[in-house]
Amino acid sequence: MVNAITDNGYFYVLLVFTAAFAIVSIAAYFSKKHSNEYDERQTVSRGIAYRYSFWVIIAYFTAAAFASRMGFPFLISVPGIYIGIFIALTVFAEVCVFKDAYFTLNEKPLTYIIISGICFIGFAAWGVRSVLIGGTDNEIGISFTIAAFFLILLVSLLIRVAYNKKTEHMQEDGYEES
Amino acid sequence: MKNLKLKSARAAMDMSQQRLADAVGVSRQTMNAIENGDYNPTINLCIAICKTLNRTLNDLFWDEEQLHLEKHA
Repeated sequence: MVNAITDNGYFYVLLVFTAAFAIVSIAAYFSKKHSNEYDERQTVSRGIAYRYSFWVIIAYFTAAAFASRMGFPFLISVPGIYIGIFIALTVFAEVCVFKDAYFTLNEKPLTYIIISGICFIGFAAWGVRSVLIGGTDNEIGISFTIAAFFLILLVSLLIRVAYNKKTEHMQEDGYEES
Repeated sequence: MKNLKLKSARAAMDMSQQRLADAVGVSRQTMNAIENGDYNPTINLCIAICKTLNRTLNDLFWDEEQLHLEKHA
């Protein structure tokens, strides 16, 4: 059974991801910068984003249940569940990005743009590899779902950062609404 | 409704939105939203802004004309 787990490349991907997540979390916890602080407007905006993503995921799985009963079980398969979860995550992220509530007061967009780009390339490459070697539907579906999420996040971050840079001086002088 | 009094008080002290935002602990976009009337700050944030700009709450956040209209509506 151990061989079956380790033979699956996903085990090593999850191991690396878990280690990276643990390192980043510990570093953030001990960081003296208040990197987890959002101002009051951002907190309100994030609350709205949480609400939207909650209802999206409720709607998705309701639709999935109906679709399954009508003979289309894909939406409640493993890739289908991942699609539902990542659609909700995408809604949350997009609302936060376009309400300027994605980054805390001390975070820089460039870091997240780079991370999103790396994650998109990594998961897209994994998906392509799975297709080429005849991987399972789960591997292919999950890889491309996560890659699509990071691609959408990357594009929206680039658009918003460019817009903020372009309009910053105009907003200061009062020539354009935010 | 735009908060022009806040904007002019900030300009009188030669402060950018970013500088004022940093001084009171909010993002520049939040300060812009307050000046454009897109966001109503909490009383604590209002007080912090007033202290930074050396003004009173009435100076920056009280609309005398609006109050008068509401009173006589």
